[in-house]
Amino acid sequence: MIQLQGVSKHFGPVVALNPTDLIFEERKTTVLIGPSGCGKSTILRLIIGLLEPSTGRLRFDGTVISTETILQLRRRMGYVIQEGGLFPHLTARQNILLLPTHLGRPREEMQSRLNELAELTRLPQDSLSRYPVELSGGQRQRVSLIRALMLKPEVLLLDEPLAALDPMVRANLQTELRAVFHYLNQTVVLVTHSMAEAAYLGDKIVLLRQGNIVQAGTFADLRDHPADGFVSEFINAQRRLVVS
Amino acid sequence: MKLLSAILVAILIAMSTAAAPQPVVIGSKKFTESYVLGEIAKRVLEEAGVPAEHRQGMGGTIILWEALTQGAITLYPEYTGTISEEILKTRGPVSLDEMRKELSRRGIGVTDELGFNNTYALVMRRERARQLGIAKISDLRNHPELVVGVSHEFLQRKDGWKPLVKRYGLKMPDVRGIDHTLGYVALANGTIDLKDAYSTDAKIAKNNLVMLEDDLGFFPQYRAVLLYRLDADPRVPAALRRMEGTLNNARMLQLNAAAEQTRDYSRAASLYFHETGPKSASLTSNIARWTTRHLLLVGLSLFFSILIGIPLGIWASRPGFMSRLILGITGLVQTIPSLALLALLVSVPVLGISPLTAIIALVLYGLLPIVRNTATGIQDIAMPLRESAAALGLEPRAQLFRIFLPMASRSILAGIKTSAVISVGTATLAALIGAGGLGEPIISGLNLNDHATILEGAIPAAVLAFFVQLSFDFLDRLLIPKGLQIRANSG
Repeated sequence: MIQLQGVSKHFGPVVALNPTDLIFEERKTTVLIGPSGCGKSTILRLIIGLLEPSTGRLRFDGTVISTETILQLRRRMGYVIQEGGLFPHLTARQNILLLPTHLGRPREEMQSRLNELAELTRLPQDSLSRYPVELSGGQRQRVSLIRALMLKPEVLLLDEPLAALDPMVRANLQTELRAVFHYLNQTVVLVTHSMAEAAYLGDKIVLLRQGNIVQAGTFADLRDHPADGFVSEFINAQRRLVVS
Repeated sequence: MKLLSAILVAILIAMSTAAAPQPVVIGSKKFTESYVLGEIAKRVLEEAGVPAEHRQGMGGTIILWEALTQGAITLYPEYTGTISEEILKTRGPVSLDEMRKELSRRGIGVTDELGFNNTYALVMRRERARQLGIAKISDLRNHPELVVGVSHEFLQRKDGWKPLVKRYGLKMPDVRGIDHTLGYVALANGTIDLKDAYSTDAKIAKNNLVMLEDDLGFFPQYRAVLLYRLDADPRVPAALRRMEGTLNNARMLQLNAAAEQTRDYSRAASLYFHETGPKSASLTSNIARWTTRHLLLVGLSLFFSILIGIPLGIWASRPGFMSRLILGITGLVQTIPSLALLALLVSVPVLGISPLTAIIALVLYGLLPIVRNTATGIQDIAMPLRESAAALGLEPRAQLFRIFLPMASRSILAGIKTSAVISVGTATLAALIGAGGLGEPIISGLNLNDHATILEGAIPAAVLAFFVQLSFDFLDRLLIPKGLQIRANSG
């Protein structure tokens, strides 16, 4: 679905991502994980076109991602960020319907899609008429998720969607996310720094460090056949954290 | 842009016709005698069946002469000395007939002398002059310690301070330029010892001043006449001729004194017609007229400031050279003193003395707060939200109109509010170039040294600024999206 060929990114002398080849498979959830500054968010931002690669090229469903194609491609992707990225001057409903209205999509169809997604994410109907400041953190992320899914995107991109939430809300939403992924059965790219989240949600895990892919595979692969000491250290560090 | 300029032209035509239903416009300089002569001319014309409007106190010689030649005014009172020295710039004295010949080549006619000679004079407090034993200008040679404060025009004139000093061989190092009317106050309280005056000035007797004898005959004759456009309605020169030779020095002095005493020029002018005079328009109707005009000036200029300022601000919100250039230039305009900006614009040939000039100055002045607040309002939008707008798949135009501008609305409105309040204050200066508004009573009051008249303009202007502020606070609630007005209720 999405393909990176020799893609690298540097900001002046600072390297964010070394030349990388990577394929995100259709209808699979791929998790990008690693310590801060490893390049995981950079990959996501390259896909949605907020960054342009320094070398190499990215393809989305065969189309090269470029400034000419990005506008159309963005409308085939959904993007959710840590704080939700909801516009404060619009209600939850207005946020969700912003793009569909702008593109002139039929109102009836969008309304039923909205109801379907609200039910799926367990978002209370009355919160739709509230402004972002009046919503809880968990509700904000649900609204953001609904906004990203409105136009039935082929790919859903999530950049640490749960990081800013408190643990209880986080656990609930994690469960719901998995249900949503199963229900929609679509291509998902998730960025996180939590191995537990990666193991729970991901079909495939890509572990990065300092702009390089260290290992890619299922959680079992990483756990049972770590490519090097860093992989087992990364898995164990998080496990210790859970135990202690 | 075509549509815009069409609107602008239409509005200005509407304004100018509203201001002058008939094309005869009388101008006057910024001092009592000129006001009174202007009022007399107005009455004389009206009695001859020619409706006339009097634009009081438009400024000095240059402004009035420009306005006359450009056709913004039809006539104004002038003095022979000024015509030869400042307008025609002749060497040595010329007769009125020679002036008439020269002026007609420029499309301007001149009446015969009205009668009195209002020459320049140097004046001192009577007591101080007696103390120092000064009676004539040549006596000043022995008193270089005296502090001199002369009007700005006198300081620059060819028959003014510098040639006078040369002619008399004076050595007075301490000379400052001071507003003519304020100079009398400075003279009275001893800040200055010596100033210039007009020989028919009522303030000379009133303030117990003494005129120094011009023993070398330096000052040219300043005989009052009226200058008018030769293409004016022929009834105009015919009517004006009735004023010739009717005003001697004593009579003019009396009218000037009456004007300063009653603070009412049209009543003083009525004395000329041997009447006690009708009461002029009531204060409330005057204030209403000034305020309406003021609001029109402020409203129009604000409208164009917004129209130009917001797009410039959007442009300036993108980092780079253009941003610095736009903010730099608009900031620079703000540093030009408003009076200097008006003077600069008046000297542009196509503009001259007109409400358009005042509006352009106000528009330029109002730009900076709007441009700066639009730019910073957009720049202050958090990065994740800008990226969300892009990542959602909105094209740049939609991002701007659906996201950035609404989110920056609070800042933009604050800029517009600042601009409006500044404009209410600055628009008082528009009266200097005859654009009217609440500056009219302020300038005449300043000229008469009359606080009551000043307040007739200053208080409504302050109240207006207050109401502008209030109505914008109300607009804030109306125009800023509701989501931006709610404070997060809890953590």
